[in-house]
Amino acid sequence: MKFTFAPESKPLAGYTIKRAIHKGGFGEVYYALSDAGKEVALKLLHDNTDVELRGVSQCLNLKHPNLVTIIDIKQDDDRDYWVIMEYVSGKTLDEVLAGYAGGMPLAAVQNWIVGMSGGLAYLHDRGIVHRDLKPANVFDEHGLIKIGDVGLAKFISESRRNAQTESVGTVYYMAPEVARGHYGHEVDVYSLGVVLYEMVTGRVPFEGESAAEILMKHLTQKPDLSLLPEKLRPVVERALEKDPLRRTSSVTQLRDEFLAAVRGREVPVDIPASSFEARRDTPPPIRSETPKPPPLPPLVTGPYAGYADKYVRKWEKKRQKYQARAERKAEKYRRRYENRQWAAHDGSSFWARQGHFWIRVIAVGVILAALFRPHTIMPMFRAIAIGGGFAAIAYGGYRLFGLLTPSVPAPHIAGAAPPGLGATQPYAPPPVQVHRPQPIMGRTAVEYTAAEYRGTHMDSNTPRFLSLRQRMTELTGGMTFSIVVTAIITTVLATVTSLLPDAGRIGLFGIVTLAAAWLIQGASKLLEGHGEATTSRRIGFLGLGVALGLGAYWLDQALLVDLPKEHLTGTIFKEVGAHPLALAGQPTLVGYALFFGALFALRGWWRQADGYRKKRFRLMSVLLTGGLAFLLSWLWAFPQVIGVVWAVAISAVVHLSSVWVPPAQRHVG
Amino acid sequence: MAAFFSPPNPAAVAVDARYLLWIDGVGGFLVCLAPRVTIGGSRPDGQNADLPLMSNLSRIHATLLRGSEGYVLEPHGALKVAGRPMNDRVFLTSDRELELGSSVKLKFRLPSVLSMTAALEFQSAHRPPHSLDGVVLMEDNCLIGPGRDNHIRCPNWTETVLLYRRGDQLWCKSRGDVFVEKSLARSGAPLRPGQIVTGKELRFRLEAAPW
Repeated sequence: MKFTFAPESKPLAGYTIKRAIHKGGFGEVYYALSDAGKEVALKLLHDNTDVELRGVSQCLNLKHPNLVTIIDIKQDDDRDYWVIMEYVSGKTLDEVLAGYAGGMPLAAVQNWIVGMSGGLAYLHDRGIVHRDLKPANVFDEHGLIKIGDVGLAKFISESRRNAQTESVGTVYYMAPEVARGHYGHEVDVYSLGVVLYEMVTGRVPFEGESAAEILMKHLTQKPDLSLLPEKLRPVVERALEKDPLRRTSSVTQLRDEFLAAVRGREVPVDIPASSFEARRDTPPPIRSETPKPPPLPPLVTGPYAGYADKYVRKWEKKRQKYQARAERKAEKYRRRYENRQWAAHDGSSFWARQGHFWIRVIAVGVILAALFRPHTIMPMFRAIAIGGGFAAIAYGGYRLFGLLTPSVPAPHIAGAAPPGLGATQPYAPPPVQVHRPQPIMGRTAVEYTAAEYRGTHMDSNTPRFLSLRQRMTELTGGMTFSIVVTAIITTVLATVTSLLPDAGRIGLFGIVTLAAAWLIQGASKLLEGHGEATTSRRIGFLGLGVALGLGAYWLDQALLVDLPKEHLTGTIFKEVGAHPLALAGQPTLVGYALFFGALFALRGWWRQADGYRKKRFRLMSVLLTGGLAFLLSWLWAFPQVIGVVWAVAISAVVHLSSVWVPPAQRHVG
Repeated sequence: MAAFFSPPNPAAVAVDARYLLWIDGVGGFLVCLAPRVTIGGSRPDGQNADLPLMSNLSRIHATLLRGSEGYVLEPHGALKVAGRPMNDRVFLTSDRELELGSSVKLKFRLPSVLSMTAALEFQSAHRPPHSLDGVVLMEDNCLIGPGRDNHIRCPNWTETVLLYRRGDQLWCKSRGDVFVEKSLARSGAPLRPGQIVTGKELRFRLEAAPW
C-alpha cells in the first residue's frame, strides 16, 4: 500500500506525520503529532466538492462519546483539504469480525450495537444521517465504541452515478432506497441491521460478484434469516425491510428490540413487592417423588442426525448414571453423618467414641513387637486372624439381624443435615457450619468448614477431572518420594530387626518394595478420578503383581540370596499342580508370582495411592494389607514373616509417598 | 590513548538505545536493544523507565532481563504472571500474560524459536505517552513482515525485512527491493535514526525514542 506522505513530513503546518494509518474511500488517513505532542488522525480529502466540505463542517461541533470527534478542517499549501480528527487506537469492527468466522458471541455483539446505536441516535437527533455506516468505520477503543467518518459520506447522487466503480465494501450495507435517491435516517437503521446480521452470523445478508448485483439483491431479495438465533429473526427482519416506512422506526428501537430478544424479556420489569417478604422455607423435594424427566427431543437434525443423536443420548445416559450414583452416595454419607451425630450426642456408642483408640493401641503394639521380635509374632497373628474371623461372622449376623428387624430412624438433632438435602445435591451436601456437640475421641469440639465437610465426602470413588500434566506431576513427585521412604523403612528394618542381615537381602527387599510402590502409584495415578473400581482393574493389578513376582524371583536368583529361613509346614497348599511353591523354605518362581499377584489383586491398592483418600496415612489400611499377606502366605506357601513385612512396607511406602489432597482443597473439576 | 580520544561514531548503537519504528499502515513500535529493560509508570520529570506507561505504576515497577537462557522478569512492585502473584524473579516463557499493579496487562511473546528477540503486546489500555502498538526487545535481530513468527507482524506486506546488529550499528536487509533512503538493502545497509526504509508495498521510519 503506497501513501503520498512519508513519515516525518509536514504537509500541514503544526502537524508532523508519523505514519500512515490506512487508505479509505475518501482519502488517506495519517497518524500525526501536533507540535505540542497531541495525537491526531489527519484525513486528506481527494477531489473534494464544496457540498462534501459543507457536510463535514456541519458536523464540526458534534460531541458524543460514541462518535469520532472532528477537531478542525484545514487547507494546505497545495489547496488540499485536511480533516483533523481525534486519533482512535484499537481495532475496527471489520478487523474484529475477521477473527470470528462463524459470528461473534452475543455479549460482544451487544456492546457494539449499544455503542453504535448511541452514536447514531445522537446524530439522528440533530438531523444528520451518517449514510456510510459499515464495519470498517466503527472502532472499539478499549471497550468504547466509536463511529468514524461522520459527515463524510459522499452524496448519493454522486455515488449512484458511478455505482459500478464504487468499492464493493460500501454496497453491502446500503439500503435499497439509496438507489432511488432517497435517504432518511432509515438508511442508517438498515445499515445497522446489516451489521447486526453480519456480527451474529459472520456473513453479510446479500453477497455478490459486483456492486450492481448486490444492489439488486438489496432491492429484491429477502435475507436468509435461518442462520440467526430464532429470537433475533423478527428483529433483523424488521430492520432489513425494503420499505423504509415498514422498517424498524429508529436505531434506539432496534437496540431495544435486540436487547429484549437477547435478554429474553419484552420490557424492563420492576421487582415485585412480594419478593421483599421474608422467605418461607419450602420443604426440599423428596427423591422418590422427583418426576422422571420427559423423553429427550431429537437434539440434532440433518443427514447424520441419527448417529449424532445416538451419541448425545449415550452421553446423557452416562451422565445420569453418574448423577444417580452420586446421589446414592450422598444419601449414604448423610445417613452415616447423622448416625455419628446421633451417637455422639447420645453418648451411648462405645465404639463411636473409644473403639478406634483401642484398635490403634493394639495395632501399634503389634507393629512394635513385629519389629523387635519378628519370629515370635506369628502365633499372635494367627490368634488375631482367627479372632477376626469370628468377629466377622458375628458382625455379619448382627447386620443380618438388623436387616430383618424394622429400622428406627436416627432422631433429627440441631446441626445435623436436614433429610433429603443430600439427595438433591450430589457433590454438595449441606454447606453448613457443623458444630459437634460433644468432644469426640478425646478432641474438643471441632468446627468443620463447609469446604472441609464437602471434601470429606470426596474419596477415590468420586469421578473427577485430572489433566495429564497433573497426573504426571503427582506421579513423578510420589515416585521420587517413594525412594526416600523405602530407603528409610529398609534401613530401619536392617538395623532394628534381624530380617535383613546382609547387603543382598537388603537390596532384594528394598528394590522389590520400591518397584511395587512405583507400579501401584503408576497404575493408580493413571486411573485416578475415573470413578468406582471395576473387576477389570483388579485383573490389571493381578498382572502387575505377577510381573513383580517374576521380577522378584529373578532378582532373588541374580543376587544369590536366601530369604530368612522358615519352616513352611503349617501352610494349606504347598504346590500348584505339579509346581512346588517353595523349595527348602525358599519361594519358587510360581510362589513369588502367586503371592504378589494375589496381594495386588485382592487389595484395593488404588485407594491407598489416591489423592482423595481419607487420610494421608491410615494405620488400619496398612495393617489390613499385612493381614491379607498373612492369610495369603498361610494359604499358599510363602515365607510368612518376610511376606507380611513386605506387604506392610509396600503399603506404608504407598501411603506416605503418594500425593494427598486435604479435604478442604478437594473438588471434582 | 588513541582509542580514548577518537571521536564517537554518530551511528553507534548505544547499549541502552531505544527506537521508535513508525510503520505505514501497521503501527508504531518501541524497539529496545539493551539486555535490561525497565518497566514503570511515566513521570512528568522525564526520569522514566525504558518502557514508561501512562499508569499508576511506580517509576521502576519491574525489570526484564535477557540472559543466555531466556528472559527473567524481576518485580519491584505487585506483579502477576499468568494470574499468579510473583514476588521473586520469574523465568518467562512465550505467551505469558503479565499483570503489573492492579490494571496494567502486557503479553510476553517469543515469536520466533530461532531468535531470542521478544515482543510485548499491550493487553490493557495503558500505553507509553504515544499510542504505540507494541514493544520489541531486540537481541541480535528483529523480523518485520507478514509471517506469524515475525517480531512485528505486517499482514499486508509481501516481503520480510530484517533489522540486525552489525558491530555497533543497526543494519537492515531484505530479499525484496527494499531501500534505506536511496541505497538497496538486499545485502544489508546500515540504518541510522531518522532514515526511512521504502519497499514496493512498505515504508517505515526509525527514530530515537523521545522519552
